[in-house]
Formats: sequence, C-alpha cells, structure tokens
Amino acid sequence: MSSSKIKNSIFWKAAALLTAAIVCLVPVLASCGGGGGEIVLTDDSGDETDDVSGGVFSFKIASGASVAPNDNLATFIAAAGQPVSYEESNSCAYIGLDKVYVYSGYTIYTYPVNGVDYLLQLKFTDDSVSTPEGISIGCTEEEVVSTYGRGFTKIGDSIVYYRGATSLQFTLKSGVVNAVSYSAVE
Amino acid sequence: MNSEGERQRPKKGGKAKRRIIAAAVFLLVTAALIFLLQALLVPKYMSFPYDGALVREYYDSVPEHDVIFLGDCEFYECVNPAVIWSEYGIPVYVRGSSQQLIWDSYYFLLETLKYEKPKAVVFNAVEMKIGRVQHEEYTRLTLDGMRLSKYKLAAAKMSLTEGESLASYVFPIIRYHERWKELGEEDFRYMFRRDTVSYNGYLMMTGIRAKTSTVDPPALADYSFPDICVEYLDRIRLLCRDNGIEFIILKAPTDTWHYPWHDEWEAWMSDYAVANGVRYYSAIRSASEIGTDWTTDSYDGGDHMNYIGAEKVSRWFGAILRDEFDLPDRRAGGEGGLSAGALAEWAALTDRYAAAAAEAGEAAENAG
Repeated sequence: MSSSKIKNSIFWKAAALLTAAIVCLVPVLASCGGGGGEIVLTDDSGDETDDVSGGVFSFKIASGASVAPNDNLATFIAAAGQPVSYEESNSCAYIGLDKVYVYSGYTIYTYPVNGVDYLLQLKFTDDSVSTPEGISIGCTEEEVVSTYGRGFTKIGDSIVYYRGATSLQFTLKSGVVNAVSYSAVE
Repeated sequence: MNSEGERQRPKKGGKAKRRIIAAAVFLLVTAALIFLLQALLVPKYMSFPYDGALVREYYDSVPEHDVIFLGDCEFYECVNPAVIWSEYGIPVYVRGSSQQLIWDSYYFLLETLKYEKPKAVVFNAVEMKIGRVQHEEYTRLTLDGMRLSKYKLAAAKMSLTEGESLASYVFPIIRYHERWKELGEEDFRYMFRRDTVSYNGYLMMTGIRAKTSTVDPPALADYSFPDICVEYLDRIRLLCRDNGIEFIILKAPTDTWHYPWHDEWEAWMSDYAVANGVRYYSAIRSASEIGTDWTTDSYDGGDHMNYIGAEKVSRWFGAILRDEFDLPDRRAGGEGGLSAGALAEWAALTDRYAAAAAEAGEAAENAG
C-alpha cells in the first residue's frame, strides 16, 4: 500500500471513529445528566423508613395502627377511617400535591414522592389523644422529661427529641405542653 | 521526476484541503444536528406548566423598567405590571419563576443589571424560608429560560441536585434527551419560536376558588430562616445599595396551611428591615387596605391570587411605589419618559391584558 493510500485510509478511519464517538456522545453525556426526560422528584426530605420500634418516633391509634414520619400513609389512612375533613393543595406549577387529613384530636400533613403520600407531620389538636408513652396536651414539662429523658434539644418554647429521621416536639407554655407534633426531619 | 513531483505537490495540497473541508463540514453538520435535536427536545412551556416560559420573556422586553420584582409564584401571580402602568405609569417587570430560590433572585438581579438599572427592586419575603432545592423541576422551570451567562451557571451550580451535571444547564439536551418519547405537536411548532404567555412576567390566572380552609399549618421546631437565605438577602440588599437602587421587601398576601407565613417570620423580617434601613411591606397585614376578599381573589383556595386579587394588590403597591418612593409617571414620553419603542410595548401590553381581563370577566359572569 502506498503511503498516500495509507494516509487516506487513516484519515477515513479517524473520521469513522470520530463519527462513532459523536454518535455515542449524546447518550454518554446524557448518562451524566442524572435522569431522563421524565421528571423525577428529588425530594429527600426524609428517608423512607419503616416503622421500626426504637428507630423512629411513631404514633398509635386505638385500633393499633401506627404511623411514623416518612411512612407511606396508605395503610394508616385506611385504618384511621374517614377524616373529619380533608384538603389538598397543589404546589407551584403542580409539582406535587400536598394533603392534610383532619381527624378528631390530630391532623396529618403529607408530602408526595412519585405519587405516593408520606407523613410529613402528625400534630395533636386537643388532649383527646396521647403519645404511645402517655404524653398529651396538658402534661407538664417534668412528665415529658421523665418519660422521654433529658436527651432533647431546646428550641425556643419547645423541647424536641430526635430519633432517626423523625422528631417529636413538645411546645410548652408556662411549663405545660400545649402542642405535640411528630415530624419528618430533613 | 521533477515535473511529476511538481504535479503531485498541488495534488497533495488539494487532498489536505479537502480533508480539512470535509472535517469542517462534518463538525458543522454534527453541531447543527445536535442544535436541532436540542431545540426539539427541550420543554417549550407553551401549554401547562406555563411557568417555565416566564424567565425567557424578559429578554424580549425593552429594558426600561423602573422597578424589577424578584420572586416566586406568589409574585408572578399577584403583581400585574399592566395594572401598575395603567394606573400609575410606572414601568415594572416581574422576574419571577416557580419556587425561585433566593440565590436565583440574586443572580437574576446581577443579570438584570447587565441590561438596565432599575430605580427599585422588590423582593418577595417568602423566599427566605427555603434554603435548599426541593425539586429539580423548579430549578429547570427557573433556569431553562435564562440566557447562558456566568450568572446562570452560578445559579445552576448552587442548585445542583444529586446526579445533575452543570453541563446539562449549558446543553439541556443532556437533561431532556429522553423526551423524544413524549414529543408532541407543541415541540415541533415551537422549536424556533415561542408565544408570549405573560404580561411582563405576570401570569394571569382566571379561576375562582374561595379560601375556606381553617386548618393550621404544620408546626416548626425552629422558625429561624436558613443561614444561606440571610446571606443572600444581605447580598441582594448590598448589591442594590452599591448600585443606588432602592431595595424593598414585600410579602405577598398568601398565608395558608400549605404556604404559611408565621408570626415569627413576620417579626424577623420587620426587624431586619428596621436594622438595615429598608422598607418592608406585608400584603397579609394590609389585607383590609388592599381589599383582599378570599372568596373571590384566589384561584386555588388561597395559595395564589387570581387576576381579581392581583389587580387589587397591584393597585395598592403601585400607589406605594408612587407615593413613598416618588417613582414618576412615565406615560407622557418625551423628557424623562420612556422611549417610543417602550411606550409602544406598554400600549400593546395593556391592550392585550384589557382584552384578556374582559374575556375572563365575561366567562365568570356566564359561569354564574
């Protein structure tokens, strides 16, 4: 093969290789994009956590059904029955549908991930409900501390306990609990 | 030999030239193909969600705005520049986007200063509460329409979520390559052009859904704003100060369980304004002065304003801009007025809005 033929051949081989490289470029670059065209929620406001006793704070109703922040709510909602009221609200540009279920004694707020509702917060609204450990609105700070211990964080008027990706918050007024909430921790 | 050599030399040069031309053509064709593919695959936002079309529309307007509003959906659905212009002759633009984060606002402001120097900047207080990206979609809705610049890259860098690359904000095809599965007529129709969906950044919503909820918002353990928000609030304030721009903070009327504005936040914002010599206005506090009626002024139960509520807020705040910040009526043109091009743009904008509002009013009347 003459040198000019060799050079010619090398040129076209290089061109073919370059073409192949560019053809491959888009998908390769795309793989760096962290996702496809389908919009995928990246909300990481909490790990998906099972209701593991001791690992998270969880709330229990009379039927025995329990729920913890970041739990998929479907089972609990079915067990809790018809709420007193229910509302839902779209986020800007309809990215996600947040929901609120009002039950006698407590209110549940949800957050969505890929169409599934998870517990964002469960908040007591009166003293008809209590934590599984027996604390309700109207209990004293001493009762809270003797029940849950001294491992809390004091934030403003609240004392907050953290366990896994959940928190249990008691808001106090004059040393008496006037609000209780279980929340997902970011 | 010599004569043969002399004949071959130009032949060799010709081959080299041909190769260079072939390579250049090849690269050009490839680049053109990628450009076309990208134009086809990126979302156009010419149907729902329109929110993603807002940011790019700023570049089509004549940059002669006395006031720039920076904020999220609360702003671009409650501040109506057509009303402020019609009533007070103050040229304003809403540089809003879905869940605009405070660093997006900062970079939007820096970018705005490349094109124009407003007399005042109004910042939406609600941005103080979110110090991290909640959904990548919001970043895309905010930044897809922003022109490529160091400001866009800086904003994107701040908002990158896990697995995202900065390159995908330069070459959106990286993000949207899989959209070929969902391409529709809109993608072909709007490959190289867009319709205008806003009124200088205002997205008109015409539905009516009364606010009836009495549900309280979720409780917070800590009501302090994220540090990064405080840092960027200072940056925006100082940027305004250094450029001789009046910095104004405004809280839009929304206060629901879904989008709450806590008393603690209100107090912090008021204190910040006093401490830093800036003005803070709350459309929640001023609801009776504005005439807010939550049975008619929202399209989604109180989270956002419809055009009726937006007109009220705009009249109220336009009067504040005129009376408390001495912003002049620029409708007359001539000395101190706007250019002919800008005046023509405002005339077209107000006509377009008047027609849309009349249509919405008629539709509401027919609906009963």
